[in-house]
Amino acid sequence: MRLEYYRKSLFQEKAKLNTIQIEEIERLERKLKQSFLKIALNFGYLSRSAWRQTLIDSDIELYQFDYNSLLPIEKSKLIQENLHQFLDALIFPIKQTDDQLHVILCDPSDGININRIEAILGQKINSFEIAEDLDVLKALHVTYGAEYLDKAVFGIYDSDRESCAIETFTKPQLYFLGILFSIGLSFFFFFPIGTAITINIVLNLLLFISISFKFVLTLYGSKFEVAKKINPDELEAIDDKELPFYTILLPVFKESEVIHKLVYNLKNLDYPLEKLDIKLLIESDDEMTYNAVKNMNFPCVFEPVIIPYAQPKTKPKACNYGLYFSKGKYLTIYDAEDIPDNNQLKLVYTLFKKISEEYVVVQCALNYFNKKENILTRLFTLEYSYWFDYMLPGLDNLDVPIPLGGTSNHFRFDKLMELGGWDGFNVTEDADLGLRAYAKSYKVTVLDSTTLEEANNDFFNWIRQRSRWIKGYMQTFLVHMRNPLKLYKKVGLKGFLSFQFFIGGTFFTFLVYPILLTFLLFILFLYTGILDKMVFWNEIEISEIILDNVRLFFPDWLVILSVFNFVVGNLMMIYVNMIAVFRRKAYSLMLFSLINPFYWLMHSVSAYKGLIQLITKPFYWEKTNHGLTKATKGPVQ
Amino acid sequence: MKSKKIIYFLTWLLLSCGYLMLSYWLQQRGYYNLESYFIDYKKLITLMDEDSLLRTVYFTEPFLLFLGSSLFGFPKFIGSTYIFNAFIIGWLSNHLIHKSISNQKIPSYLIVYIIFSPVIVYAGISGGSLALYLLFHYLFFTLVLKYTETYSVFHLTLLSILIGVFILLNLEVLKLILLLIPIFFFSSFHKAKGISGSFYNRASLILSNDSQRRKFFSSFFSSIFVVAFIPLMGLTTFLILNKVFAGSTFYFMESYGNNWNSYSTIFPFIAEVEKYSPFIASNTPYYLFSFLSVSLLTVFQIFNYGGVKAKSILMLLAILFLLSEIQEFKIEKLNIQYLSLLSGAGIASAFFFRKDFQKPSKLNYLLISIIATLGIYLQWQYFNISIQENENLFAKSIVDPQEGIRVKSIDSFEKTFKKLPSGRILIDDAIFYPELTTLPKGFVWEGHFSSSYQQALQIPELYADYVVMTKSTHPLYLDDIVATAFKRLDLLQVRTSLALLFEDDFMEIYKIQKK
Repeated sequence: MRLEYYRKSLFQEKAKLNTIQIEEIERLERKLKQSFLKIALNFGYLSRSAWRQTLIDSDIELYQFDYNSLLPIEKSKLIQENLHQFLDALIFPIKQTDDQLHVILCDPSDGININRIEAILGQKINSFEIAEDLDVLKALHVTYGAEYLDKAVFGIYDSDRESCAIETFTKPQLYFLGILFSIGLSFFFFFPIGTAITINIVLNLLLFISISFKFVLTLYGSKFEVAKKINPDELEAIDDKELPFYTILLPVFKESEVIHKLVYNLKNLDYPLEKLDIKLLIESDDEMTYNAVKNMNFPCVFEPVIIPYAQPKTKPKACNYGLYFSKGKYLTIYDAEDIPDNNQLKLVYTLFKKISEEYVVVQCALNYFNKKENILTRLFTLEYSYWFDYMLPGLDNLDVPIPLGGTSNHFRFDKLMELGGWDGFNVTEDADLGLRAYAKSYKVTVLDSTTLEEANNDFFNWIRQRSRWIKGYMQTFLVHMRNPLKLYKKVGLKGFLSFQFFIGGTFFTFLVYPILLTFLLFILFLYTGILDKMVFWNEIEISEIILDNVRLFFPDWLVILSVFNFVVGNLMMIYVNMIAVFRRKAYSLMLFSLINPFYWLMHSVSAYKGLIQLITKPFYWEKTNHGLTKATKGPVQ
Repeated sequence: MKSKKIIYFLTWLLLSCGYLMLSYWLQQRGYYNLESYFIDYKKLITLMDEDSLLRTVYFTEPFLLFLGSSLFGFPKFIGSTYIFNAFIIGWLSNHLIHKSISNQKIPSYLIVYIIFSPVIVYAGISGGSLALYLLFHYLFFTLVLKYTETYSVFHLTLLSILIGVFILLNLEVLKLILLLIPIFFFSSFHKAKGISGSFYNRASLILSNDSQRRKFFSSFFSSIFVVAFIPLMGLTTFLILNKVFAGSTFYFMESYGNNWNSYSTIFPFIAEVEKYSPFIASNTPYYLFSFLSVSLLTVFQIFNYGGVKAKSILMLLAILFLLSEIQEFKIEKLNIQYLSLLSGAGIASAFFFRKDFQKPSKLNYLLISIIATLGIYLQWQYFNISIQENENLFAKSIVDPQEGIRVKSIDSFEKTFKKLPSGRILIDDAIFYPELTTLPKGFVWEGHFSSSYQQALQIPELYADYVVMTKSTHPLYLDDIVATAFKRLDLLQVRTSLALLFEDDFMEIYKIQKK
């Protein structure tokens, strides 16, 4: 039996929305062609807990899904084809026979959408039950989202197999590494001294070139720090009416702590809310975030999208899935804890209007709001400052491939779809996408607008996060070096070299750094003669004896070269850290750049962890916990 | 764009060739430069012994000239430093000429100044370190002026790198950081955001507000830190290398090898003390004439600052800084290398205009033309009265061919040894380094850096076949270790029989008769 429900009774009398709000929602309902309830819940009018209470107060017993036993109905093809409409209507057909249609819906007063669904299915709804919107969304996604899910996971693999990281090492790569290792070993067997010295020189030289390249990039990037891509007048001249739809993807996983902050940060964006298409991407098995959103006791401004379960459980897979439900002309990604500059979207829009069509991505700078929380957050801030403020602008000005940062990268939506989205098997999918874009003759540029994030304040959490990043760089390097000649042809000599030193050089330096440092410290330790003092009971100068043997493999001139390399290399990295925070006027952080060499050692630990994982669990996504900070937004300028 | 680059490159080559040809012509007229011989000699011995490389690094001044000219190998017809200098000054003058042509605000008469300025010409042809000094000073002041316009980290970093690199030319460039302190102090007032108005308004608002004051001083001290970091850390690295490999942090200053630098060519010889004493006496203003004759353009820029007060202040600071330096160390510093600070500052200032600056008036053009012409004349006078032999020789050899006694002596040395069978020579290479660069292949010598030099001085007949010594007329006769060693052997009545092979006003070449 169908009971009658009325919008006025539910929303105005029980949910306490006023007439103006209802008129506003109805205006948006017509404009956006979404259900009344969906707009009320996702555009900041009504909280989910208030709506639940409204339903309970109306003596409605809420339907509880058993997701494991959900099966598609007979007309499932119709639902799959029209999934967007079902998601907008918030109606899930649970049982259907030739003469019976039983559905679960969220707003029993929404006659328009009920009629629309009846029209799609060609059948009258005989009975319904009422559930919360999130439950219905989840039911729709897990039951009918398989096709999109498959594209999200295997999209790149199907369209461009060579660019997919599903295979970590290709056979030719394994042969190459094997041959290289065998040659090295045989040379070492026949000419041990010469081989050891050669390897040492090569490693030192590569380390030096990689660091110097970063230093030069930083310097080059700093050259353009005064130039503003968008001036305030251009920003002022924007008419809100001309602004296009803008999609914001917010992939989350077990981030219940930061959901509240997220809503606050999104509300601060200077962009018409009705033109924002904000998607909160929640994994279907992430009960923590799911319940946090469900129980929110204040209105939110995003639309939850539930990602059906599938391996690999990575952020790119979630984003790819979200792509199929996005409506914006432009699209960006933020993390849940991000605080973007409030005019960032308008700045990006203005920039996209100014630059040519070949530019498909704009990367904004990232920095941290909890920079002074502890030493780790300080060092992290130093690193991010030079990376996003100088290094990426340096790459931009050199016109070479830019590995995108994790968030605040803004895309032209159509071009992103053309590129096939992100590689779900790559754990630094963003860096990979930047390179793929360049290889397809598209360009990436950077913009001087900042998004503040939460710096990792916990050592082990930092190691987890960093090991994933470095593993991702290794994956990206291996993927694009499957055919070096092809890469060279695609990106040119400049791009090829910058790829080697920027992507390859990054993990290479972290892997080599501790090895060379240990050798060097050991030799310098012998030079100082401290060992002889330690072995005071023995009159023989042990350090000299050891040195005589070590000198065979490590002659004096090589030691000088190594000392020079290490001192100058470290100084260069200290300096780039220093000038980056100087630019941001975070003067108190400058001295912390002096301990950057220790920070590098932490990178080395992560690099080795990443290397091991690359071999054992290449697609494993090391989760970074967010919401650990106790700090609030700081005044980073 | 491409054609512009090609023209730029070709004019650079053209100017460099011009300097090189002028240099060659002057050398035919008796001009020579000991600094050039010194660098070429150091290149010769870099890999001669086991420790040569390290010692060359420690004891070659100016090391940057050594590094730069190493790019040019060992051309026979002309020293590599002459080529290096011609390229550097070729670039600098080319850059300035192109800048002047492309920027309407820069008076074109300055092109005449660039081409005919004796300081710039001398830098391009001298084969010494002046080219590097002039380049450094020009870049330094240009960067400082640019910083006062942009307050950008980029210019601070370039300043830091510039000083960091040029400490290899002269450690004293570190002192210029002091010159930057007032600049940073005043520019920090302008960097504060959200405060407008006159300088006094800004200053009073900033200093009366706790938060602004804290930011102001942080910015000020951090700017100094950013600029000083690379040079100081570079120096620290060098000291660490000294400590680890030579056992003493200041080995490069304290060890006997440092004696090399005491023979540096920019020191006037004792024999000429009468000539330069009026300039260096404590109560004489004579030295000011030398000082002022190269600073006219700089002085003019104090008044012709074109609305850029920083320019005026910077020029004034530069003059005062150099004046205090020279007044205290006249012997070491009253030379064109140091005075090029004024030339560099003047050129940088004359060629610097802010984007918002209006085109100068005709009167201004006229004044600049007069000052530039007068500046060229005074610079020429500087070379005529200079107390430095080389600088003086430059002026003289332009006017008339010179009778080069030293050059002749070097020639004679080369000719003598060409006729002799190969062998080992005992020689004080801190004095005879020019001669040794001409030595035919097959000869080896015992010098300051060879491991058996001390033994060779004790028992010459075991270690050498030939001996070269200064004569008492040589200005460095008292410093000649070989001559001293033979005198000591004489005194101890240890006889070594020597057969004179050649002698001139400066030196004697002997063959050691084996017993």
